[in-house]
Amino acid sequence: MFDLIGNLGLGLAVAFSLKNLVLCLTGCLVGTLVGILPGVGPIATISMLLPITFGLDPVGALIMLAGIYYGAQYGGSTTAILVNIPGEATAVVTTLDGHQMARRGRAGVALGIAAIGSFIAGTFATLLIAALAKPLTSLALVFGPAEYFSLMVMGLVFAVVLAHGSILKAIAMILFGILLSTVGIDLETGEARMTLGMDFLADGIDFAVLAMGVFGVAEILRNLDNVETRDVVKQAIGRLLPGREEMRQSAAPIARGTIIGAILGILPGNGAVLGPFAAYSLEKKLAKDPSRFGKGAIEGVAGPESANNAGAQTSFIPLLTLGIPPNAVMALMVGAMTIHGIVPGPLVMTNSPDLFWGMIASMWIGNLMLLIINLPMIGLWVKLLKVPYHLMFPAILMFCSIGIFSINSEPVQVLLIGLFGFAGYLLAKFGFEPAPMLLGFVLGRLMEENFRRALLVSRGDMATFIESPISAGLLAIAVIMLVVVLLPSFRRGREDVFAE
Amino acid sequence: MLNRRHLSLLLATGCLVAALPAAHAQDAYPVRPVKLVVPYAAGGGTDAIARLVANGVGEKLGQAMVVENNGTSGGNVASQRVASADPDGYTVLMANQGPMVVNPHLFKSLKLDPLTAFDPVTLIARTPLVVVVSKNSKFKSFEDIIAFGKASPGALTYGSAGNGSASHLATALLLSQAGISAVHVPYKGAGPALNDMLGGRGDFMVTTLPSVLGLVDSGEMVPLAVTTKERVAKLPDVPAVAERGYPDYESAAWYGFTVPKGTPQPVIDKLRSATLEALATPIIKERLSAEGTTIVGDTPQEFAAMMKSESTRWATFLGQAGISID
Repeated sequence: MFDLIGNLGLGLAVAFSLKNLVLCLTGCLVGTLVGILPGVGPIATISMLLPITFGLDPVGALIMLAGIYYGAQYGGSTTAILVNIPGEATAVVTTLDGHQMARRGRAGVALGIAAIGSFIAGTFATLLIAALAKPLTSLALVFGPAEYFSLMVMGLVFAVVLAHGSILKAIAMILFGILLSTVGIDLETGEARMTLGMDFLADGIDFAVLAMGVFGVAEILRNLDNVETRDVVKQAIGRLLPGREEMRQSAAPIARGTIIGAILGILPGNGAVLGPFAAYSLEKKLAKDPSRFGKGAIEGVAGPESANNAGAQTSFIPLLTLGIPPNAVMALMVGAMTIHGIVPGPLVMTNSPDLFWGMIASMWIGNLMLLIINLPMIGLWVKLLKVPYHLMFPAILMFCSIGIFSINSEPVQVLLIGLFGFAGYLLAKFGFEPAPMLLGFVLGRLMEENFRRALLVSRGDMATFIESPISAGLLAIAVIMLVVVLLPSFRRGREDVFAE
Repeated sequence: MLNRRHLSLLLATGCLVAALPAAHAQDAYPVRPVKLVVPYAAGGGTDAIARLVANGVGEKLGQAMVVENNGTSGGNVASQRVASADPDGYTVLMANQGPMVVNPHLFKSLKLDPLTAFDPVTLIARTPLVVVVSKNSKFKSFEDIIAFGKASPGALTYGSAGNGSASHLATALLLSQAGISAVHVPYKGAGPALNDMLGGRGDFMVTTLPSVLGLVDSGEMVPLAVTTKERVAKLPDVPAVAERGYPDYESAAWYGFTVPKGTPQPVIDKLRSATLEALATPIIKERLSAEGTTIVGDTPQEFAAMMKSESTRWATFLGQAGISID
């Protein structure tokens, strides 16, 4: 405990130097900006800004790059709430209730609770990293392919709960998402699957392309369809910040979301993407009146947003303690460390304590800065909603296109968002929701990869999934969840439970 | 701090992205930013080296060298794109083992012959690979692994950074020379594979030194052998595979610059001398050697000859081993 205070003191001393504060603020501002711009993600931004950090010392450089990463998480929710476009997989569920709140004139409250929830989650996660980073690393190590597969199965069962329309349509969309995720070169055999001989499909469909299409472009098409029901709100904007009653409603979801997100964030292989989905499903299950979800329930924003930010912070644990990056952004951070002459690995903590603790302390400072930046900005964002469609839509399309092009400099990808946009529009017309599809898409790839990997390691023995206690436990939860979800439908008829 | 030079670099990047004006005037090369295409996604080992070197080369050229990543289809999309770019020195490929000498024999569908489609500039650096096991492994030496593999065929499991990666091929070559078999578990990059090795879900892995150096330094992973002919300065006590009964065995990851065929000689010369100057700067020297990478900087002829012999070697091996991707 004494160590912890001493170490945090060292970290704060490093992070509070004027230079590092400025870098942290710069990172947060840039991150917020790229988070808000649909399509331009933290990966493209960090790799573009990497050369600029050459002139900096390693601590300052990493503080700034980390700021971009969690700044982008904050910014991403703004776009999800205001214009229904999830910039990252973690913001998908925020669109469900966040955007509905915006349509009902509560955009300010939604943005406010997202910022406050994120800050609380960020604070908790920072303390968790500072106090328990080492022991938590072992959690990342016990999670092998079998455990991962079972976690994904549980995640997909959660996905069924996500849907608020027909359960059959939700399952269809999940399966469709999984199917889309199998496009591309097979990791094990190197065989090209469903690429139609086209090179740009060899690496599969990019998440951002799919999300921009089925959310962003489809949304625009839908709005053009019918001028009366404009999605981006016209009516009174309402209060800008959450009131006492809303804070009270959100307190427990924030706490639960923080814990779920923090735990999933530690897992290797980008477990953080599951966090917001799990938090959302949990809130919906615990709610007295689940039918409010999907229509602007504040818990549906508070929980996932907290989970999202907690996971973003704790995903630094494997990077800081093992030098192993759990996702693409962290891989770039490894690159940044190498470029600055630091060998990422367990020794960073002992060899460069100023870097290790300085970065951790800066995370908390960064979160505080983001709160301070974001709360006053809410008024401005909400005013953006009044921008007329004939200006807003072309702007959204333009930013989406630039963002997609920046990923791989691949013009075909930009065309693909149009294709997915049209597909998303048709699906919406027939009452299919895009969110379960995106979850199926994200989890499907991880699930297949880990399923086959587990079987490779076990030489084809299926028992590997129940021999591991963690894996067996996760599968048991999935089965119980499935029973809980399906039982009432036998008793009272599914419609009562799942219809809005 | 952000100084004016860095800002102008950023602006230049922006301009490059916004519009690529038609190129001519090789005498004044370079008059606009040079694009360095990395055939892997941002964030890997090759990417880190590319960004470090690109920054230095940009400084020496007086124009920014902008890194562009495209890891699609094992790097084939990137190499094909550079091969068909204007041969004016403004598009450079971060050439390495996969796209240059392995993929043509691995991907049956690849039409490109990298040995004739590019003009080599210089080999930048070489990195050894290391045979590693987790610290709790029952294997204490390189011979232990081979002996176990011979005694219980098919019982060994190894992780790799992916199908066709340097990590995979170095292991496959080793297994074939040792006459043993092992189950290959491919991952997306060295990081996730190391994670499972640490957790004890694989017996061993052959991976590039920079990717595992931090874990080796801390004792989490134990290096049992290096894949270069000679021992490595970073790990003086670790034997080379070649001195443990496989004298022909050699495998190393390498990084160089190539440009589209037909690039004017003065342009190649200018690019090469800027690269050599950059490699001589203390900061690049220091950082590459800190991660165990050796700087080379040879002539285009030497680089071409090296790629030719490597290509022949891998073609023979991949053919014998029957490894291919459709």
